[in-house]
Amino acid sequence: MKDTRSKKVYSVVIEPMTTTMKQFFRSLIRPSTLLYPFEKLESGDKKYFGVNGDIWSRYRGWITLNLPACISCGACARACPNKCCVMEKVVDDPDSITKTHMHPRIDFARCLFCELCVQACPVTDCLNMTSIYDITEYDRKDLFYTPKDLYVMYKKAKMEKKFTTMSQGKVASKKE
Amino acid sequence: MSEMWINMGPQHPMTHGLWNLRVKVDGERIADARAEIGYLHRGIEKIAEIKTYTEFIPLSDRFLCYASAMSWEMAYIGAVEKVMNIEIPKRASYIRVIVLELQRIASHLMWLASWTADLGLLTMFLYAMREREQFLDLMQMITGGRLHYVYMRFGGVVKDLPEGFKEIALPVLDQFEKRLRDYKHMMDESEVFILRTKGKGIWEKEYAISMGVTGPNLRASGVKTDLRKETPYLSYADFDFDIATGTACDTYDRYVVRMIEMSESIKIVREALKKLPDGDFKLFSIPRVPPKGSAIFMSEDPRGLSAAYLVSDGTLHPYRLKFRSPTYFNIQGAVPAIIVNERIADVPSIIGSIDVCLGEVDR
Repeated sequence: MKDTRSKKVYSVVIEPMTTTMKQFFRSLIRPSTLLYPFEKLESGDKKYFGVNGDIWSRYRGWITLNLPACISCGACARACPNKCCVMEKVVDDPDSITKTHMHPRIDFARCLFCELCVQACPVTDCLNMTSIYDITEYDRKDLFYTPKDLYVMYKKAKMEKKFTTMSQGKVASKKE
Repeated sequence: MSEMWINMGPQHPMTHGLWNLRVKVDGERIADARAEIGYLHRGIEKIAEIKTYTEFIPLSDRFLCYASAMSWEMAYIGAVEKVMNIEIPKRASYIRVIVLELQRIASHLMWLASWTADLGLLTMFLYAMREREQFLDLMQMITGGRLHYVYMRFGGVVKDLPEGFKEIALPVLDQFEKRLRDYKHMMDESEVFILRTKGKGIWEKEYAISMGVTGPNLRASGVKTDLRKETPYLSYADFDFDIATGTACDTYDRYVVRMIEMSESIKIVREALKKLPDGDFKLFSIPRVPPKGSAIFMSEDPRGLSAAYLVSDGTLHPYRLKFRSPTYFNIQGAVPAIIVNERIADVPSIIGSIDVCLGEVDR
């Protein structure tokens, strides 16, 4: 009787406790969580509990537009599944060099971030995906990005080197 | 007047989504139950008729089960490929097997987390969610998305596996296999856990078959069936794995079956990474639209048998797209049968054990 009881104490109390204590000490070395607004997940970050690889190089984040490179073909607007990417006329902007001055504007409140527009874009380094993930606004109208706004985002992303690799299938020459 | 009806849902932590479980209680015992679904209906099958074939790919993993998006992408794309009548390259099918099995592990971990939270084992909830994070990281590495991977295309996948993926994935799998053993041991030794799961929610074998129950739930009732073995789609015939079955038909067996399935999935991923052939990751010469015709593609979802039925009339849009969701049938088979005569406190754990996902029930 006594023997089975001590066996039970071992298997019910001590053994599960070892598992939990192991986890406790492991989390002291490599925490599972981040203090989000103060600490952010960056590429190549090994401090947190996760895989040890570059998980950001294909991330589908914020979309940016290199306005001078845009040729106004409209392929992105045709590829968009819910038509949040629509061609819009840009007036009085020296960056817009095409004849029609039609460039994509994106309503990010409705964007799926599916990358179909970026894969449809025939120009190298024009419509890009970035690894920026934490842009939020108080008003949904602020998520409505005109081509000029997208170009501002492009310059910002280029400075911070946030561009992700393009699809390998569609256009082989596309990089960064 | 000792009997009364209680609404569990639509907003209740037990439901894992939006549905209403009406139970008739006689004291502590359940006398009868009804399931009311339809709170999450978004008309996915009708939306498919106004979208082009490529435009529907991002929607197929959003509108159906959000916890296992990749397997629903596979169901839709498999149906379109069947109508197109194309054979995908070997490497593409291996990559698909890898991502589908990683998705299966992530989905089962999501189930483990939510179900143990139902039981009150919050330690296991945190561990399972953290392990799932690693698999989401691996998926993010391959596809670029954490939950909604717009990864598959007609004729293959959109991007090749990243360089050095094998070296990164294998240690994660090894580590997870070890921890899974630890966690299972930790749960099995818990007296409370055993008392709350063993012998509860008996799902008779004949009844489960007659109600169209599939997947781990049916396997836990002792039926040795798995589409990956019986009618191997993709390259599942190349891999060596076992079908986990239970005998007691109860909640505990459904848990055990899913735990074994996770380790079997690890085996498949490891083997697929080892045998990954060279070649194209996509078939580039595919027709723009499928020809006239119809096809049904069935695959083994983490929750059971999922199927997509496509009728094409040769235009840019599908003429009709129908999805068969496993959870719909599982709820129909479960609701009066397996909770009748149980105590009301056991209802969350029994319903949680069938792995409910309402996104695919209401569609």
